[in-house]
Amino acid sequence: MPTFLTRYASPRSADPLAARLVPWFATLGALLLVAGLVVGLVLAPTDHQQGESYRILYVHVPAAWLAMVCYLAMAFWAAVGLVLNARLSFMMLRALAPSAALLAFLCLWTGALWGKPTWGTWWVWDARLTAVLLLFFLDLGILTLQAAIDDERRGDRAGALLALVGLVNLPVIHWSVQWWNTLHQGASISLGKAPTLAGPMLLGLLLCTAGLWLHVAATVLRRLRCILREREALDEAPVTRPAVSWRPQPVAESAA
Amino acid sequence: MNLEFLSDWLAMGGHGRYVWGAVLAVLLALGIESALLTRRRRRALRDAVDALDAEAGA
Repeated sequence: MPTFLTRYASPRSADPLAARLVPWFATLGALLLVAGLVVGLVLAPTDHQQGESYRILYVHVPAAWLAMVCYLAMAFWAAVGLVLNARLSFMMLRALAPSAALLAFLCLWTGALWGKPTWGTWWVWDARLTAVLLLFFLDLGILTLQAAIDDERRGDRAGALLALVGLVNLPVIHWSVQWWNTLHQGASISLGKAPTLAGPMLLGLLLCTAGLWLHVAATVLRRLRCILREREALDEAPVTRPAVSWRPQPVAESAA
Repeated sequence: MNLEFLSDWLAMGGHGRYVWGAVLAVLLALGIESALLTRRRRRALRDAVDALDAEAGA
């Protein structure tokens, strides 16, 4: 196995790495997200068919993509955890699950807000929408399983199994617009085909996606560090003593 | 900035409540998630320090 993989498979090595990456990811993510929203909401032209309501795309599409990417990452860590019985993999799964659920919810929420002015309804039992709703329920199911089982190791394994089973839903989401006659529009951007979006629209979308991607990466790493602290506190001594304490420090005795 | 332009921009061609509802919901959710994580991290650090102190005191 490559050395860099085994080096960071240990929680003690992962913690400092995460600590170094989080500020970069968070800062860069915020900057890109703000830039993307400025381009998308101010500079990008109005859509000739949907008017201004299309601008929901700048938050809906990144949330939808990242909800799927997060689930894919959860399934990856679940498989690694089950095969190699690596603690860090299960911790990554726990760190990803709340963000995946939040992104799936935001995808549904912003989709409903886009659906009302475009289709005339908040919700329709369309193949794409129903599959994303199922993704949200899968995320909630994984979170619930992990929280409901007192034995953390068993909770980890149960959540990992459900994450792997739910993987079958991802191709359904992706290809639902091709497999079924759905109300949801097809992909505007896909590999191997020229995008159907105008330049500034595409730029805003890519900036928002990159910004949200980095923000989610920072959030997941921050959550991973919390989990590392909580679990290390339960198992053994903390990974490292915090450099700064927020509790009042005793005043040093004067020399006299 | 021209006030009329600002008002038109906020109205988003009559779809302002949908567009801003979506954008603000996402930003609010990300902000709340970050705040909850900060609180969780502080609690985890406090527990870690307590564990160290208890160990040192024992």
